Amino acid sequence: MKLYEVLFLIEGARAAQDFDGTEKELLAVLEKHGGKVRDKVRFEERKLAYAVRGHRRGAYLLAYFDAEPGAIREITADLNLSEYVLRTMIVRVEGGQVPEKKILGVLDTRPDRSFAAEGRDMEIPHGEGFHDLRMREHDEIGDIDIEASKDEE
Amino acid sequence: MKDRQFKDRARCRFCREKVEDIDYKDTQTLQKLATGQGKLFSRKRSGNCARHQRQAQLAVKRARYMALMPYIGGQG
Repeated sequence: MKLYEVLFLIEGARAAQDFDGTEKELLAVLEKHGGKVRDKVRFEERKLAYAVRGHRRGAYLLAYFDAEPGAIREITADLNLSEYVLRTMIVRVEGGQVPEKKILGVLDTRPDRSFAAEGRDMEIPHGEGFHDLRMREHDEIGDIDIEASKDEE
Repeated sequence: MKDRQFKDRARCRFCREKVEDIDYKDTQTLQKLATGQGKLFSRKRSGNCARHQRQAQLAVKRARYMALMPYIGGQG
């Protein structure tokens, strides 16, 4: 038995409707093939980095389970049949310990937030066109800042 | 003292933090290693050691597959 980590990407609409049922079904698939679920975490609906099968929003379910290496192929095949699971990824966890910190970073490239996080006052003037242009400029400034802060570390 | 500071800075950011494995789910860290377009920085730019750069490469590819990071472009 080895420890695996599985991340499901679930359709946003389905997750909003019935996350409990979805979770149960997915974990049942793992258990059907002899997997023993050790831990699970839900990550609520969010915007995806790109549209997957036409879905711009999705929710994630992260689970840690013990299974025989041979069962992984069957589990993957089973999960691929599911209609509301957009993506799945099963990864071996080295060391056999469920990590304490389970994070799923939010992809946030919005400049207003990054400036707020750094505690700067930056007013973005409103108005069509101009606003967009300013946003883009800030984006680039944000990138440079990240690099600069790296040097300071 | 100064010598030590320099040594610390010369090392790769993951080595300094003693990171064993780079997590593909941690997009906030991965974003720092990529351009606004989502392209991975070179080792020269990111300052990563060979081992951690390879891990970062794999982590970014995994994050892209799970739609956590873009393959191309910022907001998709």
